[in-house]
Amino acid sequence: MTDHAIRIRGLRKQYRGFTLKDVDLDVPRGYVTGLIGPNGAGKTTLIKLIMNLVRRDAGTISVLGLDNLADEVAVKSRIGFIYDEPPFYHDLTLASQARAIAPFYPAWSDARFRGLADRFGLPLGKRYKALSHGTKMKFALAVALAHDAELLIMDEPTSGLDLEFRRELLDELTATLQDEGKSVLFSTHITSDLERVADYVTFIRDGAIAFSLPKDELRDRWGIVRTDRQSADRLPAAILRGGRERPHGVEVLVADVAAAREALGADAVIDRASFDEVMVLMHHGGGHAQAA
Amino acid sequence: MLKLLRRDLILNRYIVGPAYLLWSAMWLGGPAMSGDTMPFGLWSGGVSFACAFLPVMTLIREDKFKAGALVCSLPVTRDAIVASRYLGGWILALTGVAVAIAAMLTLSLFGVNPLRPPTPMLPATVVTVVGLALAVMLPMVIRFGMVGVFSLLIGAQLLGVVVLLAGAMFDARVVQGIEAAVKAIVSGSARLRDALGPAAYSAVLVAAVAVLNYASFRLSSLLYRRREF
Repeated sequence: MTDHAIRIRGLRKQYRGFTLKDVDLDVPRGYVTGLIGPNGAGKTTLIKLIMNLVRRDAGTISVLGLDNLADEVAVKSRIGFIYDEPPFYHDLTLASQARAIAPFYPAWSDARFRGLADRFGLPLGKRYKALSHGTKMKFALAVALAHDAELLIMDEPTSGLDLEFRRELLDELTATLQDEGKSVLFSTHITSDLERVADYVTFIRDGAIAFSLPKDELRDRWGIVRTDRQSADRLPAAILRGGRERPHGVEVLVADVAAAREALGADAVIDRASFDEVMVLMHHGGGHAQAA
Repeated sequence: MLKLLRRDLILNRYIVGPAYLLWSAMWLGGPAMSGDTMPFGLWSGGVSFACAFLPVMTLIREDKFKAGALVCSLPVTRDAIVASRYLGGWILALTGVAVAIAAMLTLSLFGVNPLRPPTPMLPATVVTVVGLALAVMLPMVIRFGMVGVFSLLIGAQLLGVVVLLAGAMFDARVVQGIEAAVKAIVSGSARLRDALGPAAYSAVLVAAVAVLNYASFRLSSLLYRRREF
């Protein structure tokens, strides 16, 4: 059994005005991987390529050890997929839609689906259009989990939800996934969602993967150096990930706090980097020393 | 394939059932209220053409809800999806025609006979009209959804307008030429039918429709593989 839920090599997709550039990415098996990046960075394109909803120009994608095109049926029967706007029929009840989807999945369990529906408080006899956005997402989650998917892929599942509903959905997700050894890839631009559930974080920017790391490493080793430009120049280039000018100096995102402290001295001001700051500094700074 | 057909049935049952009833009533009403006795073949040709729009209606519905992306995320190949569109399309259209014909025959039991009796060519007529309509429409709908249907219908109308304008402005022979071509096809078909007899001619028609639909299916598969959601 491969250690990777998803392995992507040299993936390329070109649109007018945007290119997903030769992406290499490993999504580890059994963990929650958050895909973050600003709007238009390529998160949805990457997910659609994995699901073969758009055609790739180059590269390979292996899902659960199988090629996503050659073994499309086998791959998709093991994936639960959730869209940011789930494309269900608005004028039909939830029960009808679940009945239409169930036969496609050999591992679909009606008992499991009904259990999830009960837990999520889904009104199965109600028409889809009568539901709130949050309940629609919960329905999509119940459908995705009812066939015991080994891999969940979710495109902005919490977008458009209010804070309370977002938290509830993520709690449901983590509770459901706990101890089941499932792999999850979910895209978001809401960094607090990552703090809550992700084990790994992949940052995508301008169609390229900027980094893909365990969340703990990001939290423990990355930091923001607040200093003046002359001191910033003393930082080793290998640890620089981004930065920006500030009124009273510069902020530099570094991938190794210890190395930064060694270069600048023990009294250097180095703060822990939140996901928001990582996103902002990498977005502004281009990920290189020159940015600062 | 059966799973896809079952899915389409569940998702469209509230649309298809009433459409059958409504369309049947409409198709019965016209001839029943008119004073003339219409040929059964002509009537069933019209019904067949209308019923070929039933599958288009279900596909437009899917497009409306953007549910194509959902189908393509299910564990099925795109070729299987296209094949189910064709098979389902034929089933929907032929069931619609059968419902309308059964209703018309039922009406005749009550002494209302607005049509001349059917000829042995009836099944071939139905299959040909349904087959031609589906073969032309489905590739456009499958690839472009709702936009495809409207483009096809508007394009056909524009083509007609352009031909008429060209005939009126430049040379009436353009229109005459098209009329002559249509007449040649009709008379050629009639000669072939006389030469072969109704049974063999029907077989030729059905075989031609089958070949055309297969070509249309292959084209649709090619187009659908390129469709992005």
